[in-house]
Amino acid sequence: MIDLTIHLNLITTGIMLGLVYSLIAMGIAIIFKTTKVVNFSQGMLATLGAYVTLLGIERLGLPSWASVLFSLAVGVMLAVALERVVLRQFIGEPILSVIIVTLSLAAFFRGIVMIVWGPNFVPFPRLFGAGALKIGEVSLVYEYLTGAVIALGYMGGLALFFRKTVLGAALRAVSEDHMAATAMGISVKRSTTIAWALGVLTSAVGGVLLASNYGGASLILEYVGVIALPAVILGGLDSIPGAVVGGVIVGLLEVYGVFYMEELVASGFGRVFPLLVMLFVMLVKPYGLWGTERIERV
Amino acid sequence: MPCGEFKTSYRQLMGLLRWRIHWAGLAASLPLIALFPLLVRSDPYFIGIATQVMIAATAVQGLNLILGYTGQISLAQGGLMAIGAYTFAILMRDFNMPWPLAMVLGALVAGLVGVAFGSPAIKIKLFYVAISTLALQFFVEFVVSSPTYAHVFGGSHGIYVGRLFPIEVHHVATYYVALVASALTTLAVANISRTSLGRALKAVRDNDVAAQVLGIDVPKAKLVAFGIGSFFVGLAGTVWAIWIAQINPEQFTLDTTLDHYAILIFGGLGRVWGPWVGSMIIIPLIEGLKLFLPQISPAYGVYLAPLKLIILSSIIITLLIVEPKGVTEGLRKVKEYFRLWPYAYERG
Repeated sequence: MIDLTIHLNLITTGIMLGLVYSLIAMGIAIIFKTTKVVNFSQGMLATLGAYVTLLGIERLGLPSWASVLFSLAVGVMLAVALERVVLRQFIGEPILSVIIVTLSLAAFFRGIVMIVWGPNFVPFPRLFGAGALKIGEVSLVYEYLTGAVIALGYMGGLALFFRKTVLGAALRAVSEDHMAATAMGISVKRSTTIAWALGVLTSAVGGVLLASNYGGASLILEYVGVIALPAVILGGLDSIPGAVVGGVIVGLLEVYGVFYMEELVASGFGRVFPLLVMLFVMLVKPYGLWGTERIERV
Repeated sequence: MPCGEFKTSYRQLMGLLRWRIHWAGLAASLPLIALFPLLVRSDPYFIGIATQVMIAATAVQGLNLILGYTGQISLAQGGLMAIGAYTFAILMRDFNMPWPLAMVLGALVAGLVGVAFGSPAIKIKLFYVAISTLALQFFVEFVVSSPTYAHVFGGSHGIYVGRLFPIEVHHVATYYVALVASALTTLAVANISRTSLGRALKAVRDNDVAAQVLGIDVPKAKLVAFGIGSFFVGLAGTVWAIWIAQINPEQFTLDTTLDHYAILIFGGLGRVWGPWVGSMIIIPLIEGLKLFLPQISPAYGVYLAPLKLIILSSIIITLLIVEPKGVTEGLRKVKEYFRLWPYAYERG
């Protein structure tokens, strides 16, 4: 019988890690909701967020908070540029093309990161200090904890944005019906750009937090783009709360997979485990927990 | 209507060699292909490139069947090739099988795995299938590189297949193995595309709901496409294993998938010759980059992998914006333009 404290530790770590995954998953969900495009390069864009932060700290000599802001600004500009230059060309094209394009974008940015920073691990300065907060037997590593708190705060802000602001309402309108939104005087094009900017911003926050969790940036981070996919699938592709829950589930699966299965199967299994669970979910409940089922007609 | 040859029966119209120019092309290219090793005086470098072109053409032909004809996305090109190659290597090492049998079995295993991971396509489509095959890619990479299973798959070191043929003729013999594999694959895809199965696959690609209404068994068609396509990809993996003689996980990453997408989109989706056109351009392009980079500066060798990523992804994105049907379609348009010149369209 395994101790309760071990489980408590596993659960809290899983949730804290999962909340950061949620941010990247939310980025995918925000973009999908408005544009019906699943952005396979989201993980790479999140990774890029971490690398650009590094650029700010090391080469521009900015303080870490300023370089995080710098990186987020770069992320937003990049997203707007991508949407304007590349993805706008594919409105009305088969979804197949869009999938291949976003995958190629991921490869493109991977190439750039490899040229600028090299393929190896680059250490990341500690943003939130070392150590752990002890509550009884449960220890919460500061970096994970602050990451989770910031993620929660960001999600709260995002929820307020979508509910309380005019822009948020406009985005929600566009995601429901392009034609009706246009009739109400909302520009679908502008909303699409904003959705991309917001989605990439959200994921870049996740990327920076994750790099600070790992203590460094490397191309392995791109893997979160893959791990964020089970998160959005589990929650339902077009559900933002679903992405949050999906992220937490994936975090828990990973932590438990590492704890229980790595000895049984092989090291590294914790990272593949969420993917296998996702495959099962896809077969049983393809539209996830809260996704809208699509009914098609000829 | 321009004058010329006209087909008077469906049988003539669907023939593999329809026009006299086809026969002429075949007569001219067959000796060229068959005697290519003599032509380059058995130079291992050029034979190696030709072999790589044919391996890529085989694998991309499999992708063509899945993506080009059926419209299903498979991102596990590297993974499926790895399944073929590793199955082949293990069968050769542990069971001492004759190599042609091991090749067929390796391809068969890849086909079965392809069906298993393509099966979400029954219920759902596009993004989900893409993600499912992406999961397959990562799962295969994880299994074959895991130190825990190193006694089976050799971990990051991989498996030494060894040379099947005596060292003097190894390159030439491998060239002919690749030639036979790619020719059979191309013939199979050409034949599938003009039978009822091929028409069913194209119907699923163009509108799967309408195909269902017309009585096509859509789930079956998708699974058949995944099965046959993955079989060819696995076959390419086995030829790769024979050629490279030492397989390791590094050779079968997601980058392989990107290569194959660049090749297919360059050549043209859903065309039998697409994979050939694409691989004959893209593979020498990559090889040329390998030669050219160290010449600028010896230190630039490290930039090969990232530059390859950037160039191939730019090719894919540009082509999808400019001419999504590939270069063959672009050439056809050019030809059509000159045929009609100076008019913009045919006079009724």
